[in-house]
Amino acid sequence: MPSLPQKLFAAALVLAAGGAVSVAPTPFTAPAMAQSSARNAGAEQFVQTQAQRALNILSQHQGDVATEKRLFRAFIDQVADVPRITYFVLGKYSRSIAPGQQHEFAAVFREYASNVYESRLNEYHGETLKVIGSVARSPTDVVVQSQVSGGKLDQPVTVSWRVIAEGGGWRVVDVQVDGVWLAITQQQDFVSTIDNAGGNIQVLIDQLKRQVAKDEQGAR
Amino acid sequence: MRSLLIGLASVVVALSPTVSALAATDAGVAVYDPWEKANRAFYKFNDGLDRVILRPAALGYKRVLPRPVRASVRNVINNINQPNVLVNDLLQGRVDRGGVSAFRFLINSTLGVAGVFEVAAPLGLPPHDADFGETLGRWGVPPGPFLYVPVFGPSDLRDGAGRIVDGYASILSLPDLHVTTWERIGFSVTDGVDTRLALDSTIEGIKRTATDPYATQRSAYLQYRQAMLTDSNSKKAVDQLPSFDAPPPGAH
Repeated sequence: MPSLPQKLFAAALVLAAGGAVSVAPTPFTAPAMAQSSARNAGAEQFVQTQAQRALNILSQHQGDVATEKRLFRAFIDQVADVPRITYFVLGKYSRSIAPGQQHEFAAVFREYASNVYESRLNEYHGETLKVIGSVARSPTDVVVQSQVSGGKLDQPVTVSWRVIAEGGGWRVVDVQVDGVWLAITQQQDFVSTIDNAGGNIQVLIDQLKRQVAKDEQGAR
Repeated sequence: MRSLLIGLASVVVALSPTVSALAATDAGVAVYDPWEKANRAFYKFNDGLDRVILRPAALGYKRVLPRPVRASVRNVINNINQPNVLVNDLLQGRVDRGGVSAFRFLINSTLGVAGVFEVAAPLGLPPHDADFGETLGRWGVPPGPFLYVPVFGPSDLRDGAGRIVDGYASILSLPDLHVTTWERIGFSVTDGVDTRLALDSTIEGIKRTATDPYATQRSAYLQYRQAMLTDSNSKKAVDQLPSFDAPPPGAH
């Protein structure tokens, strides 16, 4: 049975299973907007298409690190709402961060998050994803449930995707495996780091920079 | 046993904070860690122990035993724990799951040759977890303060108490089985080593990538346990998720 951290990183896997090519975000459907608590077909379709595509591309480019990296960055930009996630993971500090630091953090977080998820890429391949339902917080904020099976997984893993619609398309903001949300966990990690530095956000930024530099060195 | 259960449940309830005392974070996830200083010290101690003993033992175990043998060992451990899962299923009032546990134990103990082979899952009886900490949670006992327990890792007061009860409630405690203390220690050590091995890439991943690995483990643990008690995909749980506000213009 998969354990807690395995599940946690299985979530990272699916997000990391990136590499979608240029795909326009799926428009959200008007009928779904009428009932906020009902399933949202547009959000489900978006997750089914993008996540399965990601898993397929992952298995196709296994071992080709440069291609994986390039496609993964493209996937993040096209499918995830990076500005929203960047703002969220700073928690209470997102309101007090100085504008200059904001840009500095956004740049290093993008690199850091991509590296973290990407480092899991090679552990997974050949999985199949099937959307099994969705619950809407609002017509534009939906949690889509999916089941990932096959590949190296002994048992199917339930993965949920939080997607938000803006500007006519859906974007992923968080991924959950068995109750553990990635962005929420990331926020608690970062806020704790800043808290322990007496509220100094620069300490987190510097730590992320060191981490990114180390990852780049390791990749070479 | 009954008095022990009630006693432990009372201790957990008495020591647990009221809901208003919980420190809700930005993410809307309650983190109550009044013993953080001690917990971080235990985390540090555990990290050292892990580097020197636990991880090398797990990797050694992997080197010595081929994967099919390790899988069989895990099957046997799961089968020995199955009656405890069954008892907790029933204590939670989940009769359907209890039925699955009962049949799993019967099938895997017989057709599966004392649990060596996992025969029940392919027959449509997949494994599931249930423990006494979860049972207490379903009875309404709050998690109480977060605990970082040496060797065992992240926990909370409720789950720590539950773990003790689960230890006493194991079928290995049955007098008729004549299991010696050393055999029980051997079982626990094997379980621990195999679990550590299964978690290896994840634990190392968290250590390598988290800016505060302690806070990351704490967050993941508390979310995971909460999700065992309430369907994390229910409308209520989804409505309680934190909002993902769009950043103000020009923020990024």
